[in-house]
Amino acid sequence: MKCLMITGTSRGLGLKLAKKYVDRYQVIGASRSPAAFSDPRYLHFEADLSDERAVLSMFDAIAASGKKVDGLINNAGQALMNHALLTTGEGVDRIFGSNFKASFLCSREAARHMHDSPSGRIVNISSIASELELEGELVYASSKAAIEKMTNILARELAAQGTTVNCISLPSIGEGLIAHVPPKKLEELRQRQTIKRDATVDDVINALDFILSPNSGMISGQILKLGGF
Amino acid sequence: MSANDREKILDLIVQTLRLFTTKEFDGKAVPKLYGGDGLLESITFVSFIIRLEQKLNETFHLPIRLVSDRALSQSKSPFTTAPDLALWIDSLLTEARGT
Repeated sequence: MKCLMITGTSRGLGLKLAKKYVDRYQVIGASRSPAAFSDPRYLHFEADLSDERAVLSMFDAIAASGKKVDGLINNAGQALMNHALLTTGEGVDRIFGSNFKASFLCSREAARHMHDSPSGRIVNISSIASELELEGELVYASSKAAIEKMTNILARELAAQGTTVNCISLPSIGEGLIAHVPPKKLEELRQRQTIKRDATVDDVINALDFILSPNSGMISGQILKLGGF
Repeated sequence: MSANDREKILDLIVQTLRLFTTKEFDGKAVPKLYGGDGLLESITFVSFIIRLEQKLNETFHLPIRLVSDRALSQSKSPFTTAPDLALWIDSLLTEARGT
């Protein structure tokens, strides 16, 4: 059975993905918090994924248990909504640490696990906030823009080893990081999408299934914008 | 680290190098690993490092990371030649064992 790592599995989308994918994969979850559910096919690591030593220890423990990560979904992330003039440097470090650096570190280590596999898969998660350059979300949107750029370059660097790297950019999914956005602003966002509704978890899973499929070896370096924006 | 271990490390380096190059070389004759007239091209060098880490892990049962900020800040790169790399690995294994 293939092994799928999902970060940010203590709540929200990550938790729902983990619960869904234990039907088909050995799932490895990671978050700062303890496991939010248990399943024989679920292994949880409590770790600060922006801490390189913690990430290395986690991947060493995975390897020591005889497992290899075949797929990675970099779902963990934090939001910061504030005017630029009211944003602290500490906030910038925190958001880039949890969003960009954590995704980079997990991708780097997972790619090592995938080195000898012909069908490694890395999927990053971005946001409509990046593409639409939302006011009040400078740091969050910039961290997601960095993740998109990482997707493109990492896809090229890992192509030779057969690992694909893609990104799903999400509109509102009605919960999680976007929960604090005022309803009026959310509606304005929906009206800027091609499909003018929130995405569902099943919409996300559908896109993930496509990317994770062993038949999707020619799909790499893509930013898939759910709902069109 | 024993002389036996050092020899084992150099053998692992040479075995791994042979997976990635068809060029003839003598491991103990200080062949340059990469760049210019080196044995490996840059992208192959990455694969070489990953595979060598795997072999070291299997052989010594210790998770060894060859690339680090410390490695990159050495006055002489530990990745220049096979013997340089063997010395670097020797020091990493000694640290990892706490000896």
